[in-house]
Amino acid sequence: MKPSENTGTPDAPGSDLPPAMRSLKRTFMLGYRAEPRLLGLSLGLALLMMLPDALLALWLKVLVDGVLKKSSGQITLAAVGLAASTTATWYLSILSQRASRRFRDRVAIALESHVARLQASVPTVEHHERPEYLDRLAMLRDQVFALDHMFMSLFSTLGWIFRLVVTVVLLATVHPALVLLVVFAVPAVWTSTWRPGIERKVEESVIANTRLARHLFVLGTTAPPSKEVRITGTAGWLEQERDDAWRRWYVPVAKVRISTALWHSASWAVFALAYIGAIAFVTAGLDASVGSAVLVVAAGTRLAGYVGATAGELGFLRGFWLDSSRRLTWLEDYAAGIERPATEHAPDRLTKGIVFDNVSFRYPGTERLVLDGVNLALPAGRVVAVVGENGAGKSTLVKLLARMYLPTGGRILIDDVDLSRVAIEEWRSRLAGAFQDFFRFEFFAQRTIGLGDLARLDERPASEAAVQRAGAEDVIDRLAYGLDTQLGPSWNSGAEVSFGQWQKLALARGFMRDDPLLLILDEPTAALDAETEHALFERFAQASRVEAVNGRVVVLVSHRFSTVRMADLIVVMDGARVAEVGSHEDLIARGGHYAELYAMQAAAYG
Amino acid sequence: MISKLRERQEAKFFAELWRASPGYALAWWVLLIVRACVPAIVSVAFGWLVSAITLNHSLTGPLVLVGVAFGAIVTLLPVHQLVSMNLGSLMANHLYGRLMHAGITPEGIAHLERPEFTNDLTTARDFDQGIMGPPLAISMDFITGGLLDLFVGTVAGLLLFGFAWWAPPLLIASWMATHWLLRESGVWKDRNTDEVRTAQRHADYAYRLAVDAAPSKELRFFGLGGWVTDRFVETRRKLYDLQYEATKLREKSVLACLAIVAAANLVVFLAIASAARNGDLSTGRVVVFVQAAIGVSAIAFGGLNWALDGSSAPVVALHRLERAMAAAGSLRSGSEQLVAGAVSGSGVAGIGPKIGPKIGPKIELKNITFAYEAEDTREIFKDFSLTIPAGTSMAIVGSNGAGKTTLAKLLCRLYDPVSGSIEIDGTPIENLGVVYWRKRITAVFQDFIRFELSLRTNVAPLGAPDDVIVKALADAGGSELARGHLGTVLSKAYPDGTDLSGGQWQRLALARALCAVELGARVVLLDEPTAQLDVRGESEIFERVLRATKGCTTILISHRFSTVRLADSICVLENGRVAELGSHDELIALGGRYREMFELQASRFSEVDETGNEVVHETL
Repeated sequence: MKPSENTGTPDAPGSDLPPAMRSLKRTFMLGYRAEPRLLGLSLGLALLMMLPDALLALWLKVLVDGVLKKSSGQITLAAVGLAASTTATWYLSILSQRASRRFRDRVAIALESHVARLQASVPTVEHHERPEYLDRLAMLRDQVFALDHMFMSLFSTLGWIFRLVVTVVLLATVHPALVLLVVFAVPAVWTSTWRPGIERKVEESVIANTRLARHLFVLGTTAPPSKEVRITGTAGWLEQERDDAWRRWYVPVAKVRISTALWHSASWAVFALAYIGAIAFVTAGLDASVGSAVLVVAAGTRLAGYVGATAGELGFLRGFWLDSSRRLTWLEDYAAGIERPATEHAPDRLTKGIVFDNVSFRYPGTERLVLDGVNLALPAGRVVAVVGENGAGKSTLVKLLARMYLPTGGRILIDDVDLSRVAIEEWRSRLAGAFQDFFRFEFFAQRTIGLGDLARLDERPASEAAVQRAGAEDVIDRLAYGLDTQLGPSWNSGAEVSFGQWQKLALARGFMRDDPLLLILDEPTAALDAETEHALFERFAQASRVEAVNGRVVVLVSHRFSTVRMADLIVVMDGARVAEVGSHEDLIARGGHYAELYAMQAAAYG
Repeated sequence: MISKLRERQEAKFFAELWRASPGYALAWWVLLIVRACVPAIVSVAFGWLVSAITLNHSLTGPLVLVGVAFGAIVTLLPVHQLVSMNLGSLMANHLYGRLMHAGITPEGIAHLERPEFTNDLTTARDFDQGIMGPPLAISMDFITGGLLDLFVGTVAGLLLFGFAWWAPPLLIASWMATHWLLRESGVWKDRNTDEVRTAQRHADYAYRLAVDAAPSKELRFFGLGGWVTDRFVETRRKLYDLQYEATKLREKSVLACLAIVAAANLVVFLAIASAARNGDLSTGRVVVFVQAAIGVSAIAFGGLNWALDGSSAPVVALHRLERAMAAAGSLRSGSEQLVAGAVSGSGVAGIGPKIGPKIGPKIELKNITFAYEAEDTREIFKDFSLTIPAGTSMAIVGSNGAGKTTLAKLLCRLYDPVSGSIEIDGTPIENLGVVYWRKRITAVFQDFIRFELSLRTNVAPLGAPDDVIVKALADAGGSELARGHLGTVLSKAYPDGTDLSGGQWQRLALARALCAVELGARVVLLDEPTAQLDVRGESEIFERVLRATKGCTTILISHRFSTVRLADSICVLENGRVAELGSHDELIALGGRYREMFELQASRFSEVDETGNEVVHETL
């Protein structure tokens, strides 16, 4: 399957996961590349450790034969062999455990960082906004431990198979027909590979309930929602709802676990009967020596253990890490499928500006057009404000500019260069800005701000300048160690920062870069007070005029007309289209949608 | 001795297991004991079979016994695994339920905001997320395996008493020695020191940054993907190195163990061999004892393993938290008997607020001093006094950090002041009873809750008639929401769910408060209620809300002066003090801070014919 086909049909989760063997091989190679020597060592020890264990049945036979033949040498040999095998089994398992734990720790880092890197490097945010992807990613993310366990599982599976072979060979020495015992283990092997798939299917069908239970649990155990929980008196109700949601997950899952376990148990009963038959056959029918009977009983008992363990590991393999491994491969393909070949470069400076050429957009998996044939020119060196009511497409416009998504129709041109052909990192390195739904990066304040320009992450003068641009000096002054203060009260001596303060820090982060081509301000001051907002826009208007040498375009999304009117150009969005474009004066004179909205807000200050 | 055992975290874990589900716990223990004995029975049956063959006795008896015992081994395994798994799920739910109860029950919220609880809270909150280890449903199987091996080995050892009194102690002790010498078992806590836990938090935070949805937008916007991942690798490696150092193999111990184990085994097996040679033991018994001697080695593989350690940690954290959080989150208790007389005979908790007074109460803050305990160096309020007249609205303005949100928390009684008193119609707030007071007050906070539940539930979490819900939505300017199905789940992460825009959510939060007023609340607290609303919304909504809450005592916290001026009185807060107090007109006439700030915001509208930039300069 080609990656593109893969990402094109995401509607039925699970059905489009890449094939098992390819995923397995890829994941295995991932581990091999990360730690080749530790992998070899762990595997070798895991196999070696099985040998003395499998030989125990043989020593027992030698002992019994020796006792019956009254052969003193044989008895002593068997005793020494038994002691040596028992000790060696333990010793090798200790060594194997050490090697594999070290390997596992190391490979876990490789795998987790691989997943993190893939996910963080997917250039769009689509996978964070679609429920079917969310479910898939949530499982992958939380089961990365299963992926590193995969190697352990693989080693022990090989080990069990090895023991199985040794045991079967021993049985065949008594009578070749005894090999048939393995056939009776087939139902058990089958049920053990059948179980995880069925269980997983049921689990996936009710997985939304665990998310709800978790959500309600977090509401009850974290600080921000705790205020409202108390005022609304919903504590007891929330507890009940959480428990109910969990039960909606547990009851069907427990049920399917029970039924599959019983089937599995029954299929083992089949093997047990065959085993009894085999012993009866050897002891009564075959009239074999006592030693042979001992061997059959001892080996047969172990055979069950080995088959069980092999089947169990295989089931685990299939249920957990094979599945995780397929999810991982899916993510790899998905990330690769989204990558587009970059054929053009972003200009050093803008001379014309940014043009929306008949741009349409609908969110993947939805029907409604959020942008419908938008034609719009954002001239170089200008401040452009975008206004409109909620849902008119303002944020989408911004997301397309930041290339979080590609338009479903039309093009966005940067000085005649099609944005979809520009390398995404290159374009993003020329962006700056802040968003309404900013993230609270809980680092030292220096870093929280410095992240806005990674190249100057820890450069004090750069962040100080950004703080100044954002008018966030008061926030920094209030911190015990200024820019060297850990933010977020959940960290050791971390400072508690209010929502408004976080917003200023996010703004400062957005102002870190000195020469962006495009500065996006998506309602960044909703929580700021009058003075800050005023100072900020005053400074900002001045700066954008002075620094406009590279033709920078500033896009400002806002609800506040007080802010909007200082823009050179105002774009009024209405119902997925551009309703009006012009300066404040033009639009007021026109007496349209904008003038109406403006009058309304002005009236409030009358 | 017994009390010391009870103090162990493993003991607490098993006690909690019992509480999570007595039925499953009983089944689990019974299966464990039965399965521990079956291998010994197999050995005995096996010996019996061998004797029967050598002595030419009937084989039926021993064959049946071997068959039954063997059948039990293979068929009980899946059943036990099933019981472990379901018990693990039940246990995880039980612990989550307990923690939620501990977090949600205290009347105050200090216990959730205190940094000293963070480590325990994280451990107890995230243990089953698969971040720190496998979830309990899987861990239980590992725990079962460890204990089973330990028991199987011990039972096999006991069987050896039939051979010689000295054999069991010798073998069991030698295998036990491996645990003591290698420090492998979960008994040692080296892997979980504070340093390790801190490293773990850093690693988890870095991982979550890379994979979670919340930071995804900025991560891409600023091109931070690579940096975040590198940071994760760095923190994770540090974590593993710390763990590795803590449990590093002591080479000498391994060799010592090897010598002890080899010697003990050799002595026992040679003794059995010599007894067999001398004819002191029948062939059947030789087989039994040899199998038993091999079986004892299971002790080295079993025990209280890492899975048990990892699963016990949240139990211990939970127990600690339950005590500490109950204390930290408790509020002062008042003499609630006073209430009946003080608040028109309707105050006692349990009596519905619907029959309470129609008019909102007078609220007086008298000489309040307050500091969050964690940062008690800085008092947010000192000798703070403010009176909000009955049934009026008051706006609180002030710059970030002036104490506005703290004031809101005090009014909701999420904290008690360090000193001073809050009086409601003359009755100290603690005498009202927290349940009663919270029925009388409703609030919209900046970070209001977005329930991932139906629209109906979001407006009225505890239920209300549909017409009340629709009306509340309409009053909050969200009538377009009310037109949809009230049953729609408000999160895209659920089947048929939908998400609301920021502005829609805010209207919904307002509707929640209005609904509470309809159900009897008479004090309304609005903390930045319109920050995300658009122009059309903002100017009309607040008037509507004030109309809908007429008669209530309303406290509005806002930055926006267009909204603030609609309030009956305005309080300008600065550094925890009342700087100015009065109506909009009075404060404008006063010409102080309020006027200064108001004009800053209003100026952008005052000269419509000037260009934007020029206006900005003129007002400076």
